[in-house]
Amino acid sequence: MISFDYYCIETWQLYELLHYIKDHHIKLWHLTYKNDLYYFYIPIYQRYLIREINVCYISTIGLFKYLLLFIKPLNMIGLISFIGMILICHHLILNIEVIGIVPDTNTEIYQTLYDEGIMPYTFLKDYEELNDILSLLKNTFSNDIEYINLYQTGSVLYVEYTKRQQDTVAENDYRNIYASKDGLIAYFDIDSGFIEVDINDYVVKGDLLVNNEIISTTNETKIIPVKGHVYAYTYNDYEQSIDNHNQDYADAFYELLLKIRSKIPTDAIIDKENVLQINKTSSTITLKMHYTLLEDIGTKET
Amino acid sequence: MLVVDDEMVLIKDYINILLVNDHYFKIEMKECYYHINGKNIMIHYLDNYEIRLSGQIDVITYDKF
Repeated sequence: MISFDYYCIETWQLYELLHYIKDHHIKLWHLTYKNDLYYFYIPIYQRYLIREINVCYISTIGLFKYLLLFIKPLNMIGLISFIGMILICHHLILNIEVIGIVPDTNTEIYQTLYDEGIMPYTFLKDYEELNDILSLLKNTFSNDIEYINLYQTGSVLYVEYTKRQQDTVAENDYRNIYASKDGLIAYFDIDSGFIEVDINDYVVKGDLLVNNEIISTTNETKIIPVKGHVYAYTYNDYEQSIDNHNQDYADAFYELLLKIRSKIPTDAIIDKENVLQINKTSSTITLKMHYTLLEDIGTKET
Repeated sequence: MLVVDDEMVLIKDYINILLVNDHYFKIEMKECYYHINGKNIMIHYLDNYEIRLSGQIDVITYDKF
């Protein structure tokens, strides 16, 4: 770990050096003779002693060599600045992260923190200050936030929250469910109500599917809420045309197919898809498709 | 005090180094002189109490005052 300075002296200076070393308690290593000069190493902490005699400094070896590079004024300024920055930044907030799913609430939390003087490049908060900030956020966002937590990790301040669950009170709907289109009943998903049709029954638009009346065991008619879905297979034909630009037939078919599929309701499931006809004239190309869809045909509106 | 091993000669409590070259050393001790003969003798370590010599040391003799 000790670093050494490397020196050389003329031959005639050797005895002077040896006497000087003995008198001043200097340590010398590896005295070698080469090219009419004597070379040797002196520990770096004794360099102030050896330089009182006329020795020729060559270099320094060891760890201190690199540390001594910083003795130059400009390097010292850089080193001190670097160490200062490390020490100061260790006590600063360098980033604030709000972890939550509502962008508007995130923005409001940032703004609230900034209003309280909490922003990047301010000092880290102690435990009591964090508690005060947490109480402020809880009070400010009590309507929007279910749970909120505030903590510091390193130089980053984190705010985590979960959105308040809005409890909705559903009003009972006593209206019957009717068929919105023709179809073959596939299955029911009824929470309440009296089902008037069976699976595999073919219904037409307007048929009553789920009734709000039930007859009790005492022959009393009671009105109950009706809630649920009725799924049926429906049969639909779609047609789409595009201009004929003598484009590739397959490309034209694919374009028409995509356009037809975009017309299908998003909540419907395609059970079968059949090409009925593709027709090409001098001006247009027309595609007709037949679809068997599985969809909810129940509606409260007659 | 003189200590000799395979690689090095250690001389403690010397008074002065009188002659130095790569094949002969003359060292003044409290009660005698040491004469060290050999080839490529080098001072491995030196301070005000001890000297360690390395190299091919052939003969070590001493003269009492």
